[in-house]
Amino acid sequence: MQLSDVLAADRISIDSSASSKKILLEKASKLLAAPSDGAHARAIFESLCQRERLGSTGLGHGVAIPHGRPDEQDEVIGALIRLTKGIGFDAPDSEPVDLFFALVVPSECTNTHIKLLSEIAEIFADEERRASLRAASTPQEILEELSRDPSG
Amino acid sequence: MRIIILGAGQVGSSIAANLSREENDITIVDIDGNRLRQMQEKMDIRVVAGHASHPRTLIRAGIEDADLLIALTNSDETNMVACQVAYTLFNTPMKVARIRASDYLDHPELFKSEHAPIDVLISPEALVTEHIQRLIEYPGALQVMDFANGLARLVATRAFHDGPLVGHSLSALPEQLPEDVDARVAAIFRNEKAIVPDGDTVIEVDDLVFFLAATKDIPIMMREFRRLGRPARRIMLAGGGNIGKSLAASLEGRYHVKLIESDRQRAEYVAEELDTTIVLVGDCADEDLLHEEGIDDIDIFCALTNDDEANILSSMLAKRMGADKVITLINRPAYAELVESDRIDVAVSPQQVTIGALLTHIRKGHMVRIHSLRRGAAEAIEVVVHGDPVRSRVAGRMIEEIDLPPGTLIGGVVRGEEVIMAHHDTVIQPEDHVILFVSDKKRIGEVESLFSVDAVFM
Repeated sequence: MQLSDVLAADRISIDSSASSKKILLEKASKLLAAPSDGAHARAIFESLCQRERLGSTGLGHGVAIPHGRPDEQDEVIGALIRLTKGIGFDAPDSEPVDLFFALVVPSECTNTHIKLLSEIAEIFADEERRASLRAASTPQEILEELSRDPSG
Repeated sequence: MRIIILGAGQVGSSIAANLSREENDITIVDIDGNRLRQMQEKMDIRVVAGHASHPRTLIRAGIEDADLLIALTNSDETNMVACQVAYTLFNTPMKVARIRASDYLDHPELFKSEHAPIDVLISPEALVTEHIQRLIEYPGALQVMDFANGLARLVATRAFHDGPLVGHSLSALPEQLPEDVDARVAAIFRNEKAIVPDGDTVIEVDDLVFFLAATKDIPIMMREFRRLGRPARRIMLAGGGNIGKSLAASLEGRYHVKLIESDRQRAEYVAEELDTTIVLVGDCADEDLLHEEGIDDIDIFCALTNDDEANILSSMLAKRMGADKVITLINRPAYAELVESDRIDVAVSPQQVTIGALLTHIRKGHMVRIHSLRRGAAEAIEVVVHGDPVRSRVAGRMIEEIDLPPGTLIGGVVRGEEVIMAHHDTVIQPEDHVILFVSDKKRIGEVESLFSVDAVFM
């Protein structure tokens, strides 16, 4: 499974704003849920919050990967949110976070999902790629950056 | 975490004090502006005066950004409505409420989402009843805390000169115990100071010892610290309120129970609800009544009225007149400190018991049970370990390899149904329930992060 398979331009929100972790997770849930499906969004929101309670998904350097396994989720869906101003996210370096890749996967957790999440974490760990994601001016540019093969 | 606490009463302010640390942002709401101002002088918190369940008050308190709402006002109805408002209007992820009336609690379906959506219900009366019930089970215990659904218990007891282990080092413990019994001393308080025990620690007379054991092994372990008399048989309860009534109901099958209630009507009602309990109408501090009812033969006397002074007086009287052990319900922390261990055997604080239950749901990490000890200075924690050995700082490691904060000790592990006492080479596995004793609450944050999963854990 490729990153480009789970993300789409309409689930990328750049220059967004959120005043707190809770509002950010709410926004992410809306992006991840089927359009105007309130119940689905709520299920996603609850699963993201539940996961955060076990430990923050903040990676440090202003990035985080909130994720969850909502009940009755049948496909893997990703969303990207970039905030104009970072928020507190209990990250290990205590820095505010402005770049989020949110992911929901079916409740049957498989190695494919874990690999996908690690792949996102790896991209976020790369200083240059974080800079390009922050500099991108359209969702399309973000998609291009994420699907770029750094070894090529 | 952004936390809103509704109600600035004793439990609300203790919780606020307990949580007010750098990474938490706490707002307290109360109708009484004066009380809030007093609190603000003592703590670094935000306060909002207003009606706790009104959307406008909640907005002023920052409900839109809040991760957690804790409803602790004196009104069950306000607490329930506040949680409903938080759920419907603000999508608040976690809602905890104190509900006192057993009439509501008897209908758990009320609290499901879409009805009165409360994620965690705290019922102080039920908690106190269970707490006292466990104390009665072990007459030598000062505190008994359940872990892993009662499979393991942490027990506090005082060391007496006639206990076989007293005067010996802890390394002698395994030889003293039968082969199939294992237990662990988790903490010792000597002259109010915490000692983190190791094999060389010598138990002294009057030490307050906290030990962890599988529930079935507790009486055997208790005998190491004090000669045990016969188990309790005769119990007298002073006060026929909800706690007295439900305690009597849970005890009357196994013990001879007498209950004293001053209000005739209430006494009649309680007598009708109960089976073999003898219900007496009278004043629980009436010497003649206590004498007539054979107080000198009573093994455990529990004072459970809602009046602290009456509870303390009747307990002191009962103790002087020959009751073996007295357990006293005391709401005011200052009173509890004044009389405990001196005049009465065990002071039970409903606030303290409630706070532990609340903390379980507030702390970070996968906490299963937290007990607040020594008036909040220490905590006993049951936490589930997640993650794989590569990333977790706990899973897959031997206990001696785990970087525990000072003053913190792993007492044992519950793996499925099996209770395993901690030894230096015990390897912690994912999904284990680890039982820890934290003797300095300032270290709780470090414990939380030690057991938190890392960012890529799924």
